[in-house]
Amino acid sequence: MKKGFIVLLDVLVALLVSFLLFAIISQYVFNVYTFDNYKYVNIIGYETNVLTVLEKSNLFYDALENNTTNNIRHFLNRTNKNVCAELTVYDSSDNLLFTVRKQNCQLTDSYNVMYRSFIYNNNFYLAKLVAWYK
Amino acid sequence: MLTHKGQFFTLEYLFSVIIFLAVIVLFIGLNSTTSSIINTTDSHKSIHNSFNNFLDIFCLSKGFPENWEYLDLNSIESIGIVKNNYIIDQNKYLKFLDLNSQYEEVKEKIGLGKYELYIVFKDLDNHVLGKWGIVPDNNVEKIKTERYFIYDNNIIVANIRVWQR
Repeated sequence: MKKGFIVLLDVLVALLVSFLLFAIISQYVFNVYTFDNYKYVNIIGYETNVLTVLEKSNLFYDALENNTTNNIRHFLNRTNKNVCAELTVYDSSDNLLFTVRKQNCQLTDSYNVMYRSFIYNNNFYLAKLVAWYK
Repeated sequence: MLTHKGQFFTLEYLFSVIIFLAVIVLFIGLNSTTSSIINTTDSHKSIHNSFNNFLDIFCLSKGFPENWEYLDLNSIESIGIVKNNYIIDQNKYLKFLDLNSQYEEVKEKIGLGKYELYIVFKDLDNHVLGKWGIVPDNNVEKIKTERYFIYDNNIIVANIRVWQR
């Protein structure tokens, strides 16, 4: 008596292989949609927020006027514990004026950079904020 | 007396049954895992989307109508506490804190009807300036973020927590 189709060994092996392939592919597909996307959105939100507040609270002007970054440092150190940040300000000739990094932070390979320009005493300045997750 | 084993007892058949069962078990396991991942992903996406929409409106808009702080809650479409990006409007801020007694209604207005919300406003030295919402349990999974505002020429921090009811 010949075996029926359903009990054919090669069909079952083929089914098993298909399911294994499906499992591997689906794992890959689902891993693409991790919450790194949200993290990325959050870090952009953080940078936008910090740069806006630094400018509108006059902390940039305070640093340029009084030649001290203490207030900026105090603010940056107070921001979100999970996020590290480094702020650098350049003048219009691209000369580095000052850099402030949050305490206990080491730069990693994965970070996001945001720029914001501002005018002080009729001069153009550029603030660069690099932020990354701890 | 039988001289040959029947089909049921052949090694090949038993082997095929084992593989068949393995496939069924794998299918059930995979289906369950996949459904769970889809549900969790959908749920997380939904709460993150609501949260981000809330942050945009609350932190970056004046609300609608723009003079909502002088209106009855029923006439308010959305609530924002700033007069410009991240610069807090004092009247809107105080009115918002005042609306804590109408927690459920306000949550609807800010697009977080399905979720719970807790906001603590602090200065940079961690002094609490205001609180809004209900305090979350420690064991609840929450989305947390901070937003920084300028209030009365000082920087203040809003600790924001949202979680599923």
